[in-house]
Parts: sequence; C-alpha cells; structure tokens
Amino acid sequence: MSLRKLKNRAFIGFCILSALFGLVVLSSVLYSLVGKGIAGMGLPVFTELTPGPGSHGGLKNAIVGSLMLTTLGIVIATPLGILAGTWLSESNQSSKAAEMLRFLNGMLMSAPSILIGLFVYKIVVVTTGSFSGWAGATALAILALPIIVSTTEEMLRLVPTTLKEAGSGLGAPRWQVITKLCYRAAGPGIITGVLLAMARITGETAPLLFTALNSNYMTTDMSQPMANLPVTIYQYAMSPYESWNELAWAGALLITTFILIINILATVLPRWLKARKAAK
Amino acid sequence: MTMNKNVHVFMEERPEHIDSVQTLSDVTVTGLKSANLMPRMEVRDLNFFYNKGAEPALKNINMPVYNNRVTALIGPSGCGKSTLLRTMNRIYDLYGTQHAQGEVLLDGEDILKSNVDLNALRSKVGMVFQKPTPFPMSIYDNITFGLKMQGGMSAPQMAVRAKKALKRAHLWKEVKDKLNADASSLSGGQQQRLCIARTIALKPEVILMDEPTSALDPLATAAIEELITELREKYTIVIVTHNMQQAMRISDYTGFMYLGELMEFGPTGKIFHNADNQKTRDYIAGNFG
Repeated sequence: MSLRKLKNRAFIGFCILSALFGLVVLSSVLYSLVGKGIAGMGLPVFTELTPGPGSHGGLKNAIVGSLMLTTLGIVIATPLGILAGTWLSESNQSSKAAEMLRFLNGMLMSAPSILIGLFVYKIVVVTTGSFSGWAGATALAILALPIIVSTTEEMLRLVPTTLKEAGSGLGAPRWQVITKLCYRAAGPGIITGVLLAMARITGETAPLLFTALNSNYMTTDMSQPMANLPVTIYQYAMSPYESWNELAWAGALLITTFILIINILATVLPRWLKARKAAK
Repeated sequence: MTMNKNVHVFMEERPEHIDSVQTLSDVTVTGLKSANLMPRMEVRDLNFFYNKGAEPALKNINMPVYNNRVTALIGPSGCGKSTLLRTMNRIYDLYGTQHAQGEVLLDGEDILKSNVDLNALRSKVGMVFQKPTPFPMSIYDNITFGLKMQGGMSAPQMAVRAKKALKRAHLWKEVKDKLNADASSLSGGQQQRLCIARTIALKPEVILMDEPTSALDPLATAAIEELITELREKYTIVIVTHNMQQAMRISDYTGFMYLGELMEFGPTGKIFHNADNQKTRDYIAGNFG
C-alpha cells in the first residue's frame, strides 16, 4: 500500500477512534445515571419533601422550586433577549454600539456561571438581605439572556431582505415589518433558541448556590430561599448518607430527562410548526 | 406639436421645462388611442449615491413616467436601472448610507423631500420584486396586509377589496377555495401574481416592477406580461427588465440606461427600431451588454 493511502487510513482511523471515545464516555455516564437513578426513583420522589439527614423522603419541593426558577428565568430573559437580538439585527449592524453589544454578549455567554451567581448575590441578596427565589431566577435569566440574544439575531438575519423590502413597499412602518413579518418568518428558530436556553439553565447549580440557596420546605414564595434540584443534588451527592445519595441520582435522572425532552422539542417543534402551516 | 418633441433624447438636449411635454400625442407602436399624456412622475436632475462621497450610481437622470403607460428601463447589468426604480418609492431609504440628490415628482410633489410620509408614499407607489416575496401567512392575509397597515377599513370592506385585487391579478379562480392556505404553497408564478394582487389591493397610482418575471418559467412569464398589459388601463407602471423582447412586447416607453446614465428615452418603437443614440442602437442590436 502506498504511503499516501496509509496516511489516509491512519487519519480516518484516528477520527473513528476519537468519535468512539466520546461515545463511550457519554454512554457510560448515561448508563450509570439511568441505572442508579432508576434505583432511587419512585412515587415518593414526587410526593415527599426533601428529608433530613439519613432519613427517607422525596424531591417534591426541589422539583417545584426548579420548575418555578427556570420558568421565571426564561420569562424574564425571553423578551429582553428577543428585543436585544432584534436591535442587533435590525439596527445599524456595523455601528460601534452594536459591535460592542455583540462582543459583551459573547463574553456573557462564556462567563463562568458561578460569577453570575456572585454578581446576583452582591446585587440582589445583599441588598434585600436574604436568599430568595427572585435572586435565583435573576441569575438564571442572566445566563439564558445571551443565548436568546444571539439566536434571535442570527435567525432574524436569515430573513431575506426582499421580505422586509416587500413589507416596507406596502407602506408598513418598520416596527410592523419586524413584528408582523420578520418574527413570523424567524419564529421557529427563535423558539428553538429559547428552548435551548431553558435546557442550559435547568441544570445550573453554581448560580443558585448564592442566590436561591436551598430549602427543606415546600414553598412557592419567591421572596424566600427556594429548594431546587441542582443544589439538592449537589448537597445530597456529597453526603455520606445512602438515602440522600439515592435521591441525588434520582434528581440527576430527572434533570437529564427534562433537558432531553426540551432538546427534542427544540428540534421537533419548529418542524412541526412549519408542517402545520404548510398543511393548513 | 411635432413628433420630434415627443422624443426626449436627454443625452443631447434636455427640455428646459418638463411641463412643456405634458400634452403630447401618443406615438407608440402599441396603438394606444391618442390622449392627453400626463406625466404621473418625473425624475429631475437625479443623482444617487450608495455611500457618502462615493461615485454617483445615477448621474443626472431626467425622465418622465407617463400616466397609464408602461415604461420599461433596459440596460446591461449594473447600469443603475434598479437603482433608479428604487428611488421612485424611496425604498433605498431603508439603508442609512444611501442617498439621492435632485427631484422625483409624484403628481408634482417632490417625494425626495425629508418630510414626506414614506408609508403613505409607498402605498401610492407599489413595488413588485424580482423574486416572489409571499409573506409567511395565508393567501388572504397577504392581500390584506397592506390594507391593515393603511387602516380605516372594516373586515367586509377588506374582503371585497381582496377579492377584486385577486380577480384583477387573475389569481382568484386558482385560490378562491384556499384563501386560508399558506402563501408559500403557491407556485412561483402564482406567488408573483399574489404579490401583484397585494400591491393593487392598495389602489396605488404607480406600480414599480423590478424584473418581475426573471425568476419565472415562460408560461408564468406570459401570464404576468398579459397582466401588466391589462393593468396599464388603471395604473401607471415602471418595469425594469433585462429582457429586451419583454420590454418591446409590453412597454409603451423605454429608457436605455448605461453606466448610471439615461442614454435615451422615448416611445418603445422608436428606441427599438430607430434610436438616436449609437450606444442604444448597439445594445439593442446585441453588440454588448
């Protein structure tokens, strides 16, 4: 075999090996997660509160807390992110201000999440004098924001110029062109961005440590410290108690499943929306 | 008035007073009845710049757009014919850096003035683009989009207007049973007729068409050309085309542009068979472009 062919085979071989390595790591994580998670799973996980040290219980308050924090975080971040992304794509795109915002948004996207937690701690927790659900949701919103900003900008940029010109050509003011035409055309993509941002913040632990903290009580009062899955998992997994360890695995499986569902939705929903529109 | 005055060869002599050409007798080969020919729009001493300080993309254009006539703009790629068209409804205004100098009159009013209401202007001067641009909504909503923007119409009034517009665009029969279907489900030719219907629903005075058939197959093109010929009775049309046969078939007046200048303007028959300018004759003969 010629040297050239040999090099070719070697290169492809390395590619395959690397891909296999990634797959093996991922599947072994999933394997132990599913195995141990199912062992700790059961109805009490959803119906009972987080137990004291060494005793048995569930994750009800943490599940409710996580859902509330994530939802509120997304509710805060979505309008802000969409409007900022709209400004970036529709305003004078090469202006200094736009370049600056794009750069800062990129920084925010890769900022360590613990930093965001500390920031919100300083701004919200210290000022209000207590850990709270509001602080947790704020931290999550800041994490979700840059993702929504950049997907919105990218999706709006894909809207053909001719569509905007056609809208303006019919006498539609600019804001109507954006809200009635561009959002409609870019809608499925923007929804995907929001869902991906949601998947991202669902599992975040660090920003909640300093903000929502955790709680052993069932509360829906956002001004109080709130139970949530990631911090509960963190505490229970580090503990020496077996019952806590089991609950941590169950919680991890829950979060992973939730993220999986959101990710599937993020791919399926836009396609479904388009298909439904075409079928009408 | 002699025929010579009908033909404005702006290269050589630009009329001092455009007003003096307002009542010309029609001399086109298309056999329109003689009528008092009024310019609906007039371009005067127009220069256009894509960027501040750049070379002008249009140089000193002077041209009338006659009422209820089809005016074609022809010329090689990049000669400025689309640019000229895009000044007539100020669509270029969407882009901050572009800038026009001179006058473009619509019914005697200069639309380049900064206090012009652009949304009102654009509902008077409609535009159809090269590629069909159906909005991502139903066929019916496409037609009523502009009407809703204008405001002041009840739902039944809009329905009547939409039906008329679709009929006039020869699309009614094909879509009357699926008005709620997504507009993107139509064929390319249907989409372009939808865009025309959407424009005429607003009862514009002038319709600008930027190579409206270049993305269509020959059959769809024929349908659009027929439509344009009919629409002339009600509307004033300016069409940019790279297809000289098309200009010859459907237009009453033709302007030949080259390198940002309007080399010659006149009745289509004259431009194609007896042009004054050598460049025009060369282009028509297919010697360049």
